[in-house]
Amino acid sequence: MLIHSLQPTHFRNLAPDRLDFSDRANFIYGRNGQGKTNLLEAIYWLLTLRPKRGKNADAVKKGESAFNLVAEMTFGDLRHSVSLGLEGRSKKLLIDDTAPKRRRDYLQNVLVVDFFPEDLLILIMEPALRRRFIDLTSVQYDLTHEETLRRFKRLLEQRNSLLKTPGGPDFSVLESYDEPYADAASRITAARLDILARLGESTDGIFRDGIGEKYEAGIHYIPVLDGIPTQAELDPAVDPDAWKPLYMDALRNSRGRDIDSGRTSVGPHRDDWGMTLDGKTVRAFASRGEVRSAMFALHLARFHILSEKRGIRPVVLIDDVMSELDASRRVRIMELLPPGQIFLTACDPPPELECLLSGESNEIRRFEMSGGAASPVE
Amino acid sequence: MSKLFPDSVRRLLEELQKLPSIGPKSAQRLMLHFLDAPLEDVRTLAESLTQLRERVIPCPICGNLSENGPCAICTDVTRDPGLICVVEEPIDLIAIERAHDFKGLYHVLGGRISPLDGILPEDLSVNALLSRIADPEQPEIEVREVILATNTDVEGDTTAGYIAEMLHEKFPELTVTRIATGLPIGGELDYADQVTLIKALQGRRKV
Repeated sequence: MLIHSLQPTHFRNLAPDRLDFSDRANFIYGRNGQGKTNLLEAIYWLLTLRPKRGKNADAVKKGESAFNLVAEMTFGDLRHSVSLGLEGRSKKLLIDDTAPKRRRDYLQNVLVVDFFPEDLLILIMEPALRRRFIDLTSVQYDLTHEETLRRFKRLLEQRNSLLKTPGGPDFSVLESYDEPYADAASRITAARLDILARLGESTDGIFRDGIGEKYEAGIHYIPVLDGIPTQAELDPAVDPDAWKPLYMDALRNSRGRDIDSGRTSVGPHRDDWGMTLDGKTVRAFASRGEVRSAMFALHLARFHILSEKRGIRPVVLIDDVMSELDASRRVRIMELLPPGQIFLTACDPPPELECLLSGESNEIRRFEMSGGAASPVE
Repeated sequence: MSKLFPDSVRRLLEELQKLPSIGPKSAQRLMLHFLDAPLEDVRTLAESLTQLRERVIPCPICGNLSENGPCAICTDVTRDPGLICVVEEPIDLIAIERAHDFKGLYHVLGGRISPLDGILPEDLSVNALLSRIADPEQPEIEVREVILATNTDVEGDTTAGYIAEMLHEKFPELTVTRIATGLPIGGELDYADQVTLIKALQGRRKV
């Protein structure tokens, strides 16, 4: 899929100019705070219908009540005009001036793989970031998984609210949450194990052979419940209900504890996962450069898994994360990206990236970003 | 609100905007309509609103909308009293009635269990349902089946699960069923989402 042009209105600080992109590489340069990241965020919004960071309303320019993004895109082998508006809590999506019957029909046709600087925190900071990464990847892998996540979140909120009933909850009501909760929990666990196994399969190869790091990279799951595997293995006949009986038992056994604490103690919302280099956890032992390479390897693995499963060449967004890598790592990472449309931001143009693409120089478009306005550089 | 409008207009606009799905623009449109419409029509509307509150009560048997005593469905002798369909709200009952297929009676819960909104079984007519099934004053009526037709979202499902458990415990002989979920008629398989497909497969039947 491709984005040919974008015209933002009232999206953060972006100027309302129409930008025409290259189908291959788009380099956006400029000093900090000029709006480079905002441009990538606008593309992220357009391709996921959700914010990359913060709340929905954060993307609306200060003093305005709505934003709108109009783009010319190619997906499903046809050229389309796409318009996405956000006003208050309501999103309005138009494809060729018509609202699609279901948003999923559009999302099924587009795909983005992004790497923003804050992603570097995923491997080292709190577990919630890792859960979000793996759940979002599961949704990109299978869009219908979003409904399961939504259901689970609601069940968890309802159950927790019930646990806090003054004087203690009615046991019969509490019990009525067990089956649907265990069902959703098992599906989420199965989807995470499946994605982690797939990521694990290709991450090590990319990390060592591709980027040229010397350690062996591994991925493991950290469940709160005994019986759920810590080493995810690829199982083609993955049964989403496999962990349901385990969760049913655990819910029954933890009822007293849950009532005391007012929170549900078992479930995928408490699980974690991590990455190891030669068996040592990245979180505790890796250097900054290694964390960066590990995260790149993970993102590249995600790129391969998603494009293979979905049969779509994703749009790649890389926000200012190349600059701290040395030149040889930068080149290797660029070489690992399969040909496709890339948007890359940096303070200064990294020369070796331009060299790398010199054979296709007519396919490179450069923009200088200043005060929210991106001007094409010849 | 704009000072352009006289007090009585402003008051009406304020009241109209309290109504569900009425925003400022719709409120103004309605206000202008009331000013244009024959006075008699406006009076009739105002009177019917007051009468609605004065006369309509929940049916003492099933909880459906009624005026003075049991509702039209509960008093219909051609319907099968051995079959009770449990719904959340009167609007769900109306939807099922529109299909002209169900010939049993109803039980309207008056909502669904949702701890987040502070709604627990005691806030619904669950006990009324239980005592209705074994009513000592009407021993000749034997309820054979209870159909749980609450919504298929998280709250509707857990409410159905809770009531099913209560019924199994109290009336082990009673047949308790859950309304089927799955593919819409005329729907295409590859357009259905995962959850709908799973439910459709789980609820498959022999042909």
